[in-house]
Amino acid sequence: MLNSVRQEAEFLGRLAEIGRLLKLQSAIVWMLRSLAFALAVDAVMLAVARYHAFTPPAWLLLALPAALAGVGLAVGSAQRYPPQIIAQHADRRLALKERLTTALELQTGRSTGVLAEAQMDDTMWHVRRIEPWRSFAPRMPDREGKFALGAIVLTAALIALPNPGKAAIQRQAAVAEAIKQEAQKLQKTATDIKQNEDLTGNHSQDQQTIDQILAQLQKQLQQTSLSADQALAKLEEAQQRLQANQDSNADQLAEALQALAANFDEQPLLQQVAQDIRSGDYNAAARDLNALGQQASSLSGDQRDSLAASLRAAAAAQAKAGNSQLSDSLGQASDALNGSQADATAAFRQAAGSLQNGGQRSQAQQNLNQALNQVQQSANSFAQATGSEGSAANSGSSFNSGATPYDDSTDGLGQPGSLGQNGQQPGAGQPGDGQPGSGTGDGSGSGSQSGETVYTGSGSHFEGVPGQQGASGQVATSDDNSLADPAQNDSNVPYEQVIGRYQQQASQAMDRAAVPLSYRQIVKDYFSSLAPRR
Amino acid sequence: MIDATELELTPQDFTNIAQSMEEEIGHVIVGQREVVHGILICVLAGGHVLLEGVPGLGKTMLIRTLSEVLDVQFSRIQFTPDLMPADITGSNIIAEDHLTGGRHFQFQPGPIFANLVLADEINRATPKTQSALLEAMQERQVTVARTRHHLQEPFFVMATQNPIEMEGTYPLPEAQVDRFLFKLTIGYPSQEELVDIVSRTTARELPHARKVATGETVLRMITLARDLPIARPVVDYVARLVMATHPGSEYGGEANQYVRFGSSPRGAQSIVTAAKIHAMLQGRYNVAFEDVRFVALPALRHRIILNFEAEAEGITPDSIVRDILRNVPEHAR
Repeated sequence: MLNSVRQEAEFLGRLAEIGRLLKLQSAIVWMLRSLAFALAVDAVMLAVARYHAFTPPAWLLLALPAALAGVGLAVGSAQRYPPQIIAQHADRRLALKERLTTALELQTGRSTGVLAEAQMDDTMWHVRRIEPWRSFAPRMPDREGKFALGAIVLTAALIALPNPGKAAIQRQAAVAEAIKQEAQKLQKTATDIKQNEDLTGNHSQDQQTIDQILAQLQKQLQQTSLSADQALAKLEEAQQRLQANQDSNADQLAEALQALAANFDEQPLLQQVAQDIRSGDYNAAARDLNALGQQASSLSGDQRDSLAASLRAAAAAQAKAGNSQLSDSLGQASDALNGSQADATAAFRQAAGSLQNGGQRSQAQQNLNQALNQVQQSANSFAQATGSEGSAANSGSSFNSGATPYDDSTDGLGQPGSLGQNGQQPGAGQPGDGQPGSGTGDGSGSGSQSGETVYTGSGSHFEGVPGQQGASGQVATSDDNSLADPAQNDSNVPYEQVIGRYQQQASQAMDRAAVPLSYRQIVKDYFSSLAPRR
Repeated sequence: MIDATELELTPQDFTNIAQSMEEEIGHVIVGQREVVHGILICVLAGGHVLLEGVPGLGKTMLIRTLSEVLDVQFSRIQFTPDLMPADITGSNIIAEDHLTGGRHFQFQPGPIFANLVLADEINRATPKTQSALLEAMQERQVTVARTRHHLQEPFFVMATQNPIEMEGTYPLPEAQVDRFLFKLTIGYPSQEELVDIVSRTTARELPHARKVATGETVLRMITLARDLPIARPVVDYVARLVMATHPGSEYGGEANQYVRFGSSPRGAQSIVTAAKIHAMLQGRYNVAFEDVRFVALPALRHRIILNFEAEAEGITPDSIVRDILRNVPEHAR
C-alpha cells in the first residue's frame, strides 16, 4: 500500500506522463502508417497510369497522403491508454519485471501487508529513477518508417522515370475518344434515318433491319475497354451486315423513279404525282395516283387518252429501266382507262401500290447507304484518330478499298460499293495517312456492281463513274472510263443529263454535313473533273 | 542459526536466510547450482521434490546436506523392491502394559514421520509401496488401521530416482508424480567441478554444512512467501502455459500434438508458488514473467505424459515445455 497520498499521486502522475508519451508515439506510428498507405496508393495510381489511360491529378497525389496522415495522427491521438496498459508498457520497455503492473494492482485493490508495502517501496524506488522523456522519447518506428520510406522512393521513382507506355496510353485514350465520337455520330445518323422514316411513313422490314444494325453497333461501341481492333471489327461487321442488305438494283430503281417523275411532269394530271415522287413522298404519290384512278370516269375522253398515252410512255420507260413491276402496273392502268371505272380504279390502285413499294425500297436503300456511309466514315475517322492503318492493309475486305463514301441512288451520287467482292480489287489506304493498302480479294467478282467508287491510296480524289458496269470484277478507275460514251459502257442515262443533278445533290449533302470536312474538297474536285467539256 | 520465533520475519530476512541456506549447501555440494536453487524453492514453497539422475551424482548427498542445514527431523528410506508400505508408514504392534500385564496394539510410526524424508531410489520399490507416500505427500497424514496420524510440519519428501530406463526400476504412478512440486534432473559435473568434488571428498576432514534455520523458521518463510503479490497478467500467463500443455489447446504449438495428457491445475499452482519463492530469492517483492519462465520447466516436465508418436520421435517433456515457453506470449493477444 502506498505510504502516503503524495506517494500515490507521484506514482499515478508518473504513469500519466508515460501515457502521454505513449499516446504521442502512437500518433506518430499511426501517422506514418497512414502516410505509407497513402503513398502506396499514390504509387499504385501512378503504376496504373503507366498501363491505362488514366492520369492521376497532382492535387490528388499530394492531398491523399496529407489527408491520410492527418487522419492517422487523429487516430493515434485518440488511442486510449489505461493505467494498466501504461504499466505493462513501462515494465516491458524498462525491464522492471512487472513491478509497475503489480504495484498498480496493489494500489487499486488497496492491498496491505508486509510484502505489499515492500513491493510498493521497491516500485517507487524504481519509478523515481524513470526519466520518461528519455525512456519514452518519441522515435521513428522502424517498420512503419521503412515502409513509408519505401513508398516515398517508389512514388518518386514512378513520377520521375519516363513512362515507356505513354504512347500506348495516349493511343488508348484516342481510341476511347474516337469510339465515343463515332458512336455519337452513328447515333445522329440513326436519329436522322428514324426521323426520315417517320416523315415518309416508311416502316418497312428493310428499314427496321437498318435501325437494328445501327442500334446494335452503337451498343457495341459503347462498351468499355473496347480495343481499336475490336472497334474496327465491330464496324466492319456492321458494314458487312449493311452491305448484305444492299439491293444491287437499287440504283436502277432510283433512276427509274426519277425518270418516272420526269415522264409524269409532262402530263398535267400527273404533275402532282411527279412532285410527290421528286420530294420523296411516295405515300403521297401513291395516294394521288390512286385518287386519279378513282376520278377516271370524270375525265374527258381527251384527258383519258392523253393520260393513257403518258402512262404508256412511262411504262415503256420503266420497262427500259428494268422496273418491270411498275411498268406492268402502269401499262395496265393505261389500258384500264379505256375500260370501266372499276377496272380503272383497280388498275390505278395496283399502280399506286407498285409505286409506293418501289419508292419505299428506294428510300430504304438510301437510308441504308447513308448508314453504310456513316459506318465507313466512322471507320476511317477511327483509323485516323488511332493512327491505325485501318483494314486496308488486310485482305480485300477493306473499308477503304472500293468503298463508296456516299451513295444515294436517288441522288445519283455513285453506286453502292461492294467491299472485297470483286477479286483483285486494289486496296487503298485512307486519304491523308499515306499508307496505301495492298489488299487482294479472293473472290472472282461477278462484276454486277456498277459505279464502283474507289479511294486510291495516294490520290486524294475519287475515281470511277456512275453507270459503269463491271464485267470481270476489275474496277476501272481511269478518267477515260468516267467520260466514256454511254453506249460503250451500257449506261442507261446520258451522262450530261445527270451530272448537274448529282453535283447539286453532292452540294446539298455537304451542306447537311453528311460528307466529312476532309473529303469535301475531294468531292468538289471530283465533280469539277467530271464537268462536261464545252 | 536463525530462529524466526524470536523475531518478526521480514522480506529481507527471508532473502538472507534463503541465501544462507544456499551458501551452506554450496559448501558441501559442488556445482549443481540450479538443482540446489530448485530444492530450496521447493523447501520454501512447502513442496516435495523429485530428483532424477544416474547413480553417483550426489542426489542423496544433496538431500542429506539439506537436512544438515535445516534443524529438522530427518529420515531416510531406502526403497527396494521388497519394501512394504508399512515399512514407510509404520504399523500397529502389540505392546504389553507392565503394570497390568495386559496387551494392546500400539502404533509404531514409520520413517515417514519426520520433517524431511529422503525417499532414496524411490522407483526401485513396487508401485504399491510407492503409493504409500500418496496420502502423506498430499494430506500430510498417514492412515493406519483406520486411524489417522498427522505428520509434523514442515514436511517434505525429497525423492531420488534413477532414470526409468535402468534395470529394476518401476515408473512412478502419475498421481504420485503429480504431487511433487518440482522434478529436478541432475547432470554430470563439469571437469572443474569434478576436480573440486574429488579434492573435497578425499581429504581427511569432510565438509559439513551448519544449521541455518529451524523448522519453525521454514514454516514462517513458507507463510510469508505465499503473501507475495502477483499481478493478474502474470497469473494469466501461467494459465496459458498450463493450458498449452493440453492436447489440442489453442495456445499450444505443434509440440502438443505429442502430448497425451497435459498438466493438471496442480501444475499451475506449483508454478505460481515456486515463482513467488524465486522472486523473493531474487530480492524482488512481486512475481515477474521471468520467474514463471524459470520455474516452468521443473514444475511441468513431470506432469506431461507423452504419446506414442513422441516416444517414437524422441520428443521429451522438456522439449515440449521449452517449445511452449517459446510460443506462448506473455501478454494475451
